Amino acid sequence: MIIDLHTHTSPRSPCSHIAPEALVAEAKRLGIDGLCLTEHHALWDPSELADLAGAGGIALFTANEITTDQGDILVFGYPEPVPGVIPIRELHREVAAAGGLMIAAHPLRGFKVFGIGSLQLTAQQASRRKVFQFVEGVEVLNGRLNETENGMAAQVAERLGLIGTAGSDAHDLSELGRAATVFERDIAGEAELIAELRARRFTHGSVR
Amino acid sequence: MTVVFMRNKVVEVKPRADGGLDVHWRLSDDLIDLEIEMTFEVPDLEIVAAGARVRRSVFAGGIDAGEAIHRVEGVRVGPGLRKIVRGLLGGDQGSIELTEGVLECCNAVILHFTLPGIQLGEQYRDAPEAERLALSKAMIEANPRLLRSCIAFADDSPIVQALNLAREEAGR
Amino acid sequence: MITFSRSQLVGMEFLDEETVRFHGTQEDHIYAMEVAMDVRIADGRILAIQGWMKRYTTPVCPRAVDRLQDAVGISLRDPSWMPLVMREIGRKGCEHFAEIICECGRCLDQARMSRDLAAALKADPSADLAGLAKQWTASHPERPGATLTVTAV
Repeated sequence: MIIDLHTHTSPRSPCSHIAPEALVAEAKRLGIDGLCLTEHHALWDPSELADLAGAGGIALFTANEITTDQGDILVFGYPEPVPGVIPIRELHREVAAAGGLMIAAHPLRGFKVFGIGSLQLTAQQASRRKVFQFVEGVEVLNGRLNETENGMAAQVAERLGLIGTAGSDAHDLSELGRAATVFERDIAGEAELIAELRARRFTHGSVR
Repeated sequence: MTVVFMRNKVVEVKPRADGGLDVHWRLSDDLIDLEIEMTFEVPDLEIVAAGARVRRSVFAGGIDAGEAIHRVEGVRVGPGLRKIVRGLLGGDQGSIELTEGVLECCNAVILHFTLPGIQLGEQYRDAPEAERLALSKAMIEANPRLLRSCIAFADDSPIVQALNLAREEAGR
Repeated sequence: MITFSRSQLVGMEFLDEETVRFHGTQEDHIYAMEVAMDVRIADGRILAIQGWMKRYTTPVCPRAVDRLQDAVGISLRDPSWMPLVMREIGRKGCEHFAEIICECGRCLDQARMSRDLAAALKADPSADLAGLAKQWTASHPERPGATLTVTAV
C-alpha cells in the first residue's frame, strides 16, 4: 500500500496551494493508495476525512506537523491541538503519554541557495542534534529535499536506529507523490499506521 | 520635505577563530537604540550565545531584551526558524524589534554562506550561454527550493524556461 | 574581518495629515534596492509604491519592480500583512523588496508616535518623555508588540 505520509492542503496549512479535493483526485490519478494530511498545527476531524475520502478509493489519515524549538515534527496518534511553538521535550512527554509517534520532518533541509553540503556537516555531527533524542523516526526521503540532504537524514537514522519514513511534503499538486512510503500490508486507521511504522514493514518509493 | 522619523539598521557577520560566526546587529531610530550580539556554531548553525542591550529608549518600562533573548539559545538556523523565534520571543505579545533583530542576525548568517555561490556565478557572467545554463541547472538541482522562490526562478522566468528547454532537448 | 554586512535605512515624511511616505533603502554585499511607498494612516493601506533595483544577481531580477504594484491595497493593519507581503511581493517578485516594505511598515506607528512626542516636547520642553511615551502607547492600542526597557549596564 503506497501512502504519502506528508502532505499539506489549503486553507488548514496556509502555505499550501492544494485544495483537499484536488489532492485526493491527483493521488488517485497517480496510483497512490493513501494520504496522510499533515497540516501545520491543525488536525482533520475523522468525519471530515471520511467525507473527503468519499468513494474515491483513497485511504486518508490525519497527523500534525508541529513546530518545536528544535524544528518541525510529524506527530501521529496525538489528537490534541497544539496551537503554537512548543519545546520538544514537552511535546515528547505528551505524545509519549498518548502512545503517539514523533518523526523529525526534513531535519537536514538546507537553504535557498546553499545546502548542508556547503556547511560540510557530517552525519556524525548531525546525529548529535537534540531533536533526535526525542523522536522515534526521521523523514529520510522528503520530496522537497535534494539527494545530499535526504542521504544525510538516512545516515543519521541508520546511526541512531531510528525509523526512516518517506513523504512528499507536497504544498503544490506537482509535488505530490515525489516520495512515498510503501507498506507491506493494507492499513486502516491511524493506530494501524503507527503499528506498521513501528514494525518497520515498509520501503520507500516515488510515483513520479 | 523633512522627515519626522529615521531608522538606521546594520547587521554584520564576522567569522571566529574557532570556526563559528559572531553577528552584531544594531537598530537606532528616534525612539530606541537596540543592539544584539549572537554567536553561531558552524556547521550546525546553532545559536550558542545571544545577548541584547537597549542603550536608549523613550520607554521607561517593558521587556528586558537582555533577559528575553536567552530564550533563543539552542535554536538552530533551519526549517521553521521564523515560527520558532517568534514563538519563543512571545509572538504578538513580544517585542517586534527584538524578534526581527534575531531573525535578521540569522538571515545574515544564511547570506554569509550564500555570498560565495553568488561570487562564483559572477565568474560566468561573460561565459557562453550553455555554460551559464549548466551553472543555473546545477544550482537548481542542488537547491530545489530556489524554484518558485522569486521572480527569477518562477515557472515563466526565462531562466527556468531555458532550463526546461535544455532538458527537453537532452531527452530527445 | 567582516564577511557579510547589510544596512537598512528608513525615513518617513508626512505628506499631509492623512498620508505618510516611506523611503526605504537596503544595501548589502549582494543586493542594493530602494522603495518609496505612500500609506494612508487611517487604515494603513498602501496607496502607491515605486521601486529601484540597483544591484542584483540575475538578469530577471529587475522584473520584480513591476510586481511591487501588487502591494497597492494591502493594509498594514491586516494582522497577516507581513506574510502577505512576503508571499505576494517576496515569492512572486523579490524577497529583498518585501523586506524593505516590511521594515517600512513596521515604522508606521513609530513615526506617528515620534511626531506626537516631538510636538509635545516642543510645546513643553520640560515634559516627561517616558510619561508621554507611556500615555501615547496606552491611547494607541493599534501599535503592535511590547515595548523594550533600557538595559541596566
